[in-house]
Amino acid sequence: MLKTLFSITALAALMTPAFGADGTTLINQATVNAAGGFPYHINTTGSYRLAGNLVAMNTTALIIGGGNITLDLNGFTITCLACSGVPGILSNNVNTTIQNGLVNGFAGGTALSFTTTGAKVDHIIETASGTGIGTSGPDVTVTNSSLLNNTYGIGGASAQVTAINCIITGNIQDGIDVFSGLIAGNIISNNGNGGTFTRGGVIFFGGIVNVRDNLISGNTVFGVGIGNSTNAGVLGLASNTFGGNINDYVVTVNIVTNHSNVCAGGTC
Amino acid sequence: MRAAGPRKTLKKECPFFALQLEGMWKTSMRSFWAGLFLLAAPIYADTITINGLITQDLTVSGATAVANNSLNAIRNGDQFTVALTFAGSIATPGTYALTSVLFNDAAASASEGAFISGSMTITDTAGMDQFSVLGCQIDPVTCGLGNQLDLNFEIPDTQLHQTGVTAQAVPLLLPLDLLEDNSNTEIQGSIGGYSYPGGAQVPEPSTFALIAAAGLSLTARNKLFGGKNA
Repeated sequence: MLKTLFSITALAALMTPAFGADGTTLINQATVNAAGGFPYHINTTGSYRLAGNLVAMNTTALIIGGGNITLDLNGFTITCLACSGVPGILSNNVNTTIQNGLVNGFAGGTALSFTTTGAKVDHIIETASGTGIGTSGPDVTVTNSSLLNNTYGIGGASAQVTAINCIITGNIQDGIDVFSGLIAGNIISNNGNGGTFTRGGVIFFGGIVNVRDNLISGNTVFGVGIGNSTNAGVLGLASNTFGGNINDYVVTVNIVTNHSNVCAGGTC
Repeated sequence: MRAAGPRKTLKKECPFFALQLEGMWKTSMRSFWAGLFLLAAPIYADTITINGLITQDLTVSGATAVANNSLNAIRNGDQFTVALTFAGSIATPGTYALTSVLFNDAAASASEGAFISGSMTITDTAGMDQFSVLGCQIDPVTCGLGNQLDLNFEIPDTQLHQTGVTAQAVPLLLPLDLLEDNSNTEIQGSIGGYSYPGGAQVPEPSTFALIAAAGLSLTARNKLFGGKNA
């Protein structure tokens, strides 16, 4: 009996995740492979930090199953090679924060994918994926991040999206899809140029969206447009600089605030 | 007419004793084959040796190695080796447990072999064998704190069992990362060479053992049955 108890205790100790001095678990390619390869599962609440780049081959890199998890990429990069339609980091639980690093190459998939509430992304550079940051949950907050050369930058057509101080450039369809929320202090440029139908910098889907203090330029078809067929929605526009968009913003919705914008091609 | 052999004579004249002897012979042969299996079992350990150059010593960060102060003497450009030892032989890609990991920088008289566990994963990708190695120090819990050795490199998959192979970095991955003192000590390196001298060997008993076993069997048989065919 004692032997069994000892064995179980020893096994449990071996299976316990390794914690850093500050309580942070380190993750790198070697630890991922030693744990059985990608996708690497993070199921225990806490803080995690990359100790090196991760390179996945057409597979999801990380699956976050636990709630209240902070993942610090620590300046490192998560790359997918030969990727087709898989998410890069998939969070299935509440209050996930992903910060401080680069994610790229999840072609046809969503690089940072969230399915529930409390998602936060900060200081992330994300490129060359299907969607840079996407959520099927109720909300996502993206700050100080760059979403470059994806098909979609931020995909939150049914969510409350907060995007502050981001660079959202070169996305083929839409820079930001948003149901409601705050889009402030961003550079939103050259989106929609390879896309089809209604597309552009910020496309909103019928909620209440406040767009202010952004540089919105070079987008096709809209700088700020509407993506739902009923033309419903409430839009506030303030202190934005528009330039070089085919249409700076849509005028068929209820624009409750429209002041201090600098427009190059449309009515302000 | 051919005379009856001693085995037939024995069976005819004393059948019970003949059965006893047959049993002894069969038992003897079972022991022989069991011994042969043991001799063939991979009870030896193979070693893969990696070499390369230090690219980041401790002067970069200004940190001082505490747990192993020999690491403080390591300098950029030093040649290092890492010996990865494992039970048996590696024939195909997969994940293998390491029985020892030894990092050595001869120029600095620095070494690190205090690893409590190790894992080596080999993945065949587009004609290349990609190696991912994790060596853990202290205990499983504090390994991830930053007390570990990581290797990432690749070689042509046709050269798995060769020596003097040119190894190269896996794109985007750090080739050598030695973390100690809860990641306050970090030494990095490039990887240039790979050797697996024992890899082509198939586990077999030695020729001497085979001859001796065969000789013993024949001697035993001759003693029991007179050494002639029935």
